[in-house]
Amino acid sequence: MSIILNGTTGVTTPGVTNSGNETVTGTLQVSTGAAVGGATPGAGGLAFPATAVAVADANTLDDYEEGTWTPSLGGNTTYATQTGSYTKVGRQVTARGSINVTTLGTGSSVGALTGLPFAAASAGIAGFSGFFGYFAALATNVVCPVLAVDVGATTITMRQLTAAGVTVTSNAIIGNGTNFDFTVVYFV
Amino acid sequence: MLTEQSVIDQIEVTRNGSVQVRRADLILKDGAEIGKTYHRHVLAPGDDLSDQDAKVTAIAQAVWTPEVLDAYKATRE
Repeated sequence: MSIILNGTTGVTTPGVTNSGNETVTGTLQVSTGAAVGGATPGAGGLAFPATAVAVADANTLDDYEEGTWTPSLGGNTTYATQTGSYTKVGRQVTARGSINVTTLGTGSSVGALTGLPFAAASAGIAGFSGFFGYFAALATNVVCPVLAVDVGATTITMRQLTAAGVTVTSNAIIGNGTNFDFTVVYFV
Repeated sequence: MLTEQSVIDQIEVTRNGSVQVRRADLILKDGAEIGKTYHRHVLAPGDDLSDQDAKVTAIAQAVWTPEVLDAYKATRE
């Protein structure tokens, strides 16, 4: 059996409000927006509440959010580009960013970024990874640059090799004119 | 008439004392919300609060007890 709520011309579909529980044993089709957790349905898609109601169950999707954040090297560095955006699905955050340093200032990091939109989980997880989509004008020649989101924090540590080797290390790779795009994926 | 408004619409405190702040940038038409985007930042225990919203500052100062600051510092060493 299927239930179709589509507001088709000529068909009057009364609004139904039920404060109890409903069970649909067949399929359920909603032609416009649907909402859960008290959210207001939009023109399409599935809306989640602006403030997520966390559910511990491993099979329950309890949050969705899109937004922006501002990646930073700290200190008084100036930027031609300093942008970031994120999508959070459940406890997983995917954050991307673009940095183009004009002038590296005092008090700024040359190997780490700050400003992630959510603090990473701090317990039970060893670490989270990321990658560069592009980089140019690094202050140091490198191979195999990697990104790691620090547990329990909103920082990204950049590590790399400066020559063929077996273990990445942190180096001062950021300087005036350094330009890069990156993405990290982590849990909260 | 279209207007823009920014509000701090969510302040969360995580287990380690970090304060997660969400700013909602609203687009209003005749006072009714027709669009919204979010921007987030997070304050770790001990971070500078000088440029923060008053509510954010008040919550951070209440949460960041010496014990919380010491515990967070220990995790970063």
